[in-house]
Amino acid sequence: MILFLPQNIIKPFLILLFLSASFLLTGCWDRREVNDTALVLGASIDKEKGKNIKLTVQILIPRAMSGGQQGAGASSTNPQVLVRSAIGENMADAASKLQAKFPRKIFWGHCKAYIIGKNLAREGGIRKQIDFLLRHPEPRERAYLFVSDGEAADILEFKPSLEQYMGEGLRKSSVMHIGISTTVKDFEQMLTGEAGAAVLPLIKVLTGKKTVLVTEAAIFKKDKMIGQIDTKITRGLLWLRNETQVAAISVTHKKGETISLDPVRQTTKLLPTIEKGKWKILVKVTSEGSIVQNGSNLDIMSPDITKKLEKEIGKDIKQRMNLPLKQVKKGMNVDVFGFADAFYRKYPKEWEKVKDHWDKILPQVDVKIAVKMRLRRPGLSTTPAGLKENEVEKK
Amino acid sequence: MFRNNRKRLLKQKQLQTQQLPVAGQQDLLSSDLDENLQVLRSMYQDCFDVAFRTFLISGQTKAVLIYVEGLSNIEEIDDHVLTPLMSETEGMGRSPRGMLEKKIHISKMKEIRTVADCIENISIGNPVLLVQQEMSGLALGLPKWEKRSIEEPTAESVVRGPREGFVETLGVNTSLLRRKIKSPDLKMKSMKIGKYTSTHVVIAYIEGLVNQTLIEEVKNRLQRIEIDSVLESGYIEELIEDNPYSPFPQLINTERPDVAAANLLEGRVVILVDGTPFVLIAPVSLFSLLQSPEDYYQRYLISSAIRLLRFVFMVFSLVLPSLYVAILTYHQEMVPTSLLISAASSRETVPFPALVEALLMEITFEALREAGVRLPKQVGAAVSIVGALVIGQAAVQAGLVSAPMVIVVAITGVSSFMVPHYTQGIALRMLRFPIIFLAGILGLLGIMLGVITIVVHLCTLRSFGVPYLTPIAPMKGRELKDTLIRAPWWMMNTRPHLTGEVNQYRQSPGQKPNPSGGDEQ
Repeated sequence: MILFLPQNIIKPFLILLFLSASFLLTGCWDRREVNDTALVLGASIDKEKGKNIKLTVQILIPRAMSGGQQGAGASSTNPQVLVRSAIGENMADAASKLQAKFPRKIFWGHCKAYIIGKNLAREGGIRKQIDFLLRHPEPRERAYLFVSDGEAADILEFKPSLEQYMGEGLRKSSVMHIGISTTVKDFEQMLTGEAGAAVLPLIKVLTGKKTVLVTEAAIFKKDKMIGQIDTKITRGLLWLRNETQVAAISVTHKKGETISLDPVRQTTKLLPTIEKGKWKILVKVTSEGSIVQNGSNLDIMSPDITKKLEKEIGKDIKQRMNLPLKQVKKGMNVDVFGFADAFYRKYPKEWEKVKDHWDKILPQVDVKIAVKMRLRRPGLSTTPAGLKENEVEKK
Repeated sequence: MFRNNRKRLLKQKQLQTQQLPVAGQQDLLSSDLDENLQVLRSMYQDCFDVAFRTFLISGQTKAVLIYVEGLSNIEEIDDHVLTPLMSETEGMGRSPRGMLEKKIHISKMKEIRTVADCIENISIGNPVLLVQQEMSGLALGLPKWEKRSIEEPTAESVVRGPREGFVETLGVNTSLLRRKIKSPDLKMKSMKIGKYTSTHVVIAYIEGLVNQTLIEEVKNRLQRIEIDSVLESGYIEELIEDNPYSPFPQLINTERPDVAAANLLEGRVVILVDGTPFVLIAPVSLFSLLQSPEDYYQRYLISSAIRLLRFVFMVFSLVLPSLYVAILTYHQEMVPTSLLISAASSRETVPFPALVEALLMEITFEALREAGVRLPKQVGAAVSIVGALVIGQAAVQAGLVSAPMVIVVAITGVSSFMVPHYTQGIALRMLRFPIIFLAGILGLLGIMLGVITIVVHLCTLRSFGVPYLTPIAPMKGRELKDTLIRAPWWMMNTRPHLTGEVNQYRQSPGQKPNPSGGDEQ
C-alpha cells in the first residue's frame, strides 16, 4: 500500500488540528441564540417601599410567521409584548430577580427607552441607577431617558396607536424633537457639566384620549428632580437650547386674523460678557421661515408688510423664550440653558471663582434676547385666498 | 518512519516508469517491406481499427498503405493515392521514389524513416505508405476526423462580443488565435506530453511582448511533466501551479479565443492542449479572475459599475451567511430593532441553532447546484423546480429553516455566480464553509480571523512569480485603471507592468476623442 501522506503535509495538519481545537474549546462561551433571548423593548424604574426600586420591562413575544399564509394579516406582523416587573435594591438586583421570571436571557441591547418614575426622580439619587445603564455592556448609551408623570410602569402597559409598542413610540417622538429629547449619554453629560443641571422629557398620559404626550419637561438639579414645566415653557426652553425643530409660529396681526409660519432653520447662540463684574448673556436667535397660512387680508408679497411681520414674529419668539427664563431661571434657580458652559468657555478664569456658588450668580445674570427673523418665502400663493385684488391690504 | 516510506515510494515510482511499455521503437525502417510489415502488425495486434491495404504499384512493386479507420480521408486516398498508383499505364522504368512524388498530388507529404515516426503519423491520422525496396516510407497529410463545429462557449457567455469558442481540436484552436492576431510575432511552440496519449500541447505567446524568462519558466515546468495521459488542460494546470495546496486557481482557463488573444497582448502565455476547448492563461492575478471579456466591449461607465458590483458580491458570496450566523448568535445589538424582531419571530419555530441552519441550507444549495449541472438537460428543469420548492417554501412552511436564512442563501448563491470565472467562484464557495464555522464559534471575531487568513494567503500566493494581488499589493497606481474599474480605452496606454514590461506601451497617448478641440487648433 502506498500511503499518500508526504511528511510536509502532516506537520501543518497537526498544527491546524491544535489550532482548531483551541478555537473549538474556547469559543462559543458567550453564544446566545435569538431564540434564547428575551428582547427588552422598554424599561421603567419606579420607587418602592424603603430603599427599593421596581424595575419593569417590556419584552417581545416573538411569534412564528403563520405558515406561508401571507393573508394572515396585520395582526400577525404586530409584535406582541408582555410587561413584567421585579423589586430590588438597585437596577442590577432587580434585573437579576426579573431574570428569574423568564426562561430566556434578558437582552438590553435593543431597549431604546428608559422611563423614570416621578417619585423616584423627586427623591433624587437616580445617578445610581443610570450607572447600570452606562456600565453594563448591553444597554445603549444612546437610549432615550424619560420621566413619567405618574407611575412609570403604567406607561409601558400603554398601547400606542401608531407604533407597535411603547418603546418604539417614545423613541420616535424623541427623534422628532417635539419636546426635549435626552439620551442616557446626554443626561450624564448634563449632570457632569458646569451647571450640574439636567432636563428630561416628561411623559403625560391623557386619560380618556388614549394618547401619550412627551411635550413637557422635568427639571433636575444634580440628579434630583425639582420641578416640571408645561408644554409652552418647554417650547421656549427648546429655543434657548437650540433644539427646536418643528414648530409653527402664529402671530395675530389683527384680532382674529392669524398668520402662521413654518420655521425652516433656526440657530440660537449664547454670547456671554462680563462687564465690570456684571454677568450678561446675549441670546442671539436667527430664524428663517416660510408662511404656510395667511388668515389676514395682508399682501405678504409687499416688503413693508413682511418687515412688519418679521418684527412681530421676532417679538413672539422673544416672549416664548422669556417664559422659561422666568419660570426656571428665576423660579427654580436652575441653569438648564447652558449659560454656565458658555461662561466657562469664554471666561474660564472668572468661572473658576464662581463655580462653587453659581446658584447665587445665576439670578443676577442679565439675559438679553435678540431675534433676527427672516421671512424667506410667502408660500405657494401670493394673495390671501378668496380675496379679490382690491380687498388686499397693501401696506 | 515517514522518510523511509517516502524513499520506498520514490523507488517504486522509478520502477514503474521503467516498466511502462515504450510506445514507439527507435528502429529504422528496413528495406524489406515484409519485415517492416511484421513489426507493425505485431504492434497493432488486436487493433481492429488499423487498416493495412496491400497493393501493387503499376502492377509490379508491392506497397502497403496503413491508416486508422475514421482518422483518415478515405475518398482522398482512393482518388489521389490508390487510383494513380495502381493504374498500369506508365512509369515502369523509373525508380519508385520519383514516381511516387510525381503521381501523388497531395500538398502535405513527409518522408519517415523510423518505426516510431510511422506509428506517430498513423495515430494522428496521416496514412503511411510503405513500398518494397525503400528504406523510407511516406506519411500523407490526409487526416480527417469528426470534429465539433465552432460554437458559442456555454460557460462564458456574453451579451456583446464574439460568439465563437475553442473546440476540442488543437488545429482549429490555433487557427482561431491566428485569425485574431495576424502578426508573425505570435509564436506557437509545440510539445508532446503523455506516454499513452502523447497529447499536443502548444505554448502560444507574442514575441516582443512577453518576458523571455516567463517562456523559459513555462517550458521548464511543462517539460518536467511525466505522466501517462493528458485528457484535459486541468491535468497540466495542477502539475505546473505555484502553490498546489491553494484553493485559488493560479492559471485561468477560458474557452474564448478573444480572452486568450487579449491576454497574449498583455504579455501573458497561453497554453493550448489538444482535446479540450479550455486553454490555460498564465500568469494571472486575483483581479484578472474577476474580469469578464464583456467589460472591455461594453461602454466603460457600465463596465466599471458592473465590475464594482462584482467585487461587492464577491465579498457577499464569501461572508454573507457567516455574517448572518454571527449576528444572530452573538451580536444581536448590531441590527435594527425591527429587523431583529422579524428575524426572531421567523426563527421561533426553527429547531436548529443558526449555525446548523446555515450549514444545512448552504449544503443543500450546493447539492442542488451540482445536481443541476450534472443531470441530463431534460431532468435539470425538474430538479430546479423541486429544489426551489423544497428550499424556498416547503422548508420554511415546515418550520425547518427561517425565511431570512432562505434569503441569505439565495443572495449568496446568486453572488457566487457573479464571478465570471467558474473556478474562482468555486474557490470562494468552498471557503465560505470554514468561515461559517468560525462565525458560529467566535462570531464576528471569527469572520475577521477567517478573512485575514485568506488575505494573508492571497498575499503569499504567486502565479508564475507574479504576486497574486497585483496591482493592489504590491500597489501599482497606474494599473488601477483596469482593476476595480475599467478605464476607457483611450486611457489604457500601458500594459500591466509585471507581464508587459518588455513592451510597455499599448497605444499612443492622447487619443481621447475631442472632435471640435482637435480641428480648431
